[in-house]
Amino acid sequence: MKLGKYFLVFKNFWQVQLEYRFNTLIHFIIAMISMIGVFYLWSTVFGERAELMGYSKEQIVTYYLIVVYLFAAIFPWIPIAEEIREGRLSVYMTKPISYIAHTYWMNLSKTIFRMLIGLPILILIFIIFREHLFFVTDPIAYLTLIITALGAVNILFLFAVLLALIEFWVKFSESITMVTDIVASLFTGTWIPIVFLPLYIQNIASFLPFKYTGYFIIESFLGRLNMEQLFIGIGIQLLWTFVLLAIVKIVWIRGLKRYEAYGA
Amino acid sequence: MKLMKNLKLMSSTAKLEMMDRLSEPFPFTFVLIGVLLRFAVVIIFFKAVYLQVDTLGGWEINQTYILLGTYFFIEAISWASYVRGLNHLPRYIEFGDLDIFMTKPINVKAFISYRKIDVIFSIPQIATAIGIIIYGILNSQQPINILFYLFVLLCGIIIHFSITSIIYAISFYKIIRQSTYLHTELHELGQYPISIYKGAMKWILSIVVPIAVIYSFPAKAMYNDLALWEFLLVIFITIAFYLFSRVFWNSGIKRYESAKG
Repeated sequence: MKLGKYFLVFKNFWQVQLEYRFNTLIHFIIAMISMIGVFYLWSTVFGERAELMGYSKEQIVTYYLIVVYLFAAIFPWIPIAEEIREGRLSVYMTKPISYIAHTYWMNLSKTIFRMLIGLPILILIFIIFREHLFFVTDPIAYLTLIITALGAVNILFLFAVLLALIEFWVKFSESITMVTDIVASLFTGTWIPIVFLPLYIQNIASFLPFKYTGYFIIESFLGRLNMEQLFIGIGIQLLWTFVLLAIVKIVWIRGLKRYEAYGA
Repeated sequence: MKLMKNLKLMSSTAKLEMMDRLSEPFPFTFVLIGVLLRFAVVIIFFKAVYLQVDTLGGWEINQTYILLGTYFFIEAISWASYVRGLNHLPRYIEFGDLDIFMTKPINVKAFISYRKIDVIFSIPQIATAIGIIIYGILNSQQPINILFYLFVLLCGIIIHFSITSIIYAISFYKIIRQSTYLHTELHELGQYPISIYKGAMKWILSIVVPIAVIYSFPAKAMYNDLALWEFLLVIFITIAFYLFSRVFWNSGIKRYESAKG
């Protein structure tokens, strides 16, 4: 696969994102509103206690802060279902590019752009509220965060593509995505760290990819995992990436056979 | 006469919306499943929190169920009636589509508010929300005051409508594409009992952006826990926000310049 043309896609969408930088910034500021509720809720839950389930109050507030930041940045918004429905997929069929790869680089461009725009807000919050937050000093943790976040971007992207490809068979498949997003939000640990959930939900979470797109990333960043757990987690991320990639390829080929460019 | 005209229009828009939804029932059914699943996830979240504490800022779990039921009820009612209509406002303003409504002999704010009324798909949501409230009441076994609850709930819905119209009317002054996101994030602060918020934040969420008054106060009223000053605050906030939202909207609409014009 020649990467040059995809770097161009990356660059083009970067330019588009630059046009909307103010909106992206506003998006992050709004996302941080939820931190008000999180902070007061967990302050009340902790009360005078020093720790809960191995978390200090500072760690749990930091957990949510990173969750909010990450998901505002890495959550994929891809137009695949819309393009299939409206027949716009045909435009890509006549070009010497892979449509899925094109969408991947577009999504990666958006993700990295959003991460960079949101970073100053994150740093500002760390500076202002430093006494309520857990500051990670280990540089390895930051490297781990980048690696595991990239793994999460891939899994979330492939999962989103898979759902979007349902559009080949069912009209307005975005509504199915809404259902899966809600289920995923529980298993990613965006609502609450998975360790706080009942054991049967924790067990279900272990068999799904979502835990490795949120909870696992932040647990490793906060230094709550040992080396073995970290490597196993990254291995599982890779495994899910390959499994989803294989399923996406199969569904894509079958879906294309049904594609009629209706509305194009 | 104006009321009759609005009621007729409301009924027509509701019929059109119903036809639209029934023509594509599949996606709307999934959206409904999604909303009900979200209710379940929120309840799982609170149950997990209550595994760590007996009360949350003095609220036992059954009282929190009434708060959550109230939160879901107002969410369902508002999305079924005015939010879905008002959330188109930023786009109407940005692209000059508001002209279509301004040239008609109607109250623009009212018409936009009830333009997307959803009768069918909101019913299961509303029923579930009421079910959660009843579950909370039955399990708490404390004396309740339904009439007082309903009165404070009605005030909460008026405040909710006022805040929603203010959020979307900001776009008259500066286009905010993320108005719906802002609306959702702000209101999510109301799913927690007001007593968890301390100091200035408690007052901000009671007076400046009275999210707590919308959700926590009805739940307190159910058990006659609402102090006299809190009841008076509900009345004051309801009137003040309704009037302010009208002024904010009217002065905003004067600034509107058709983008297409």
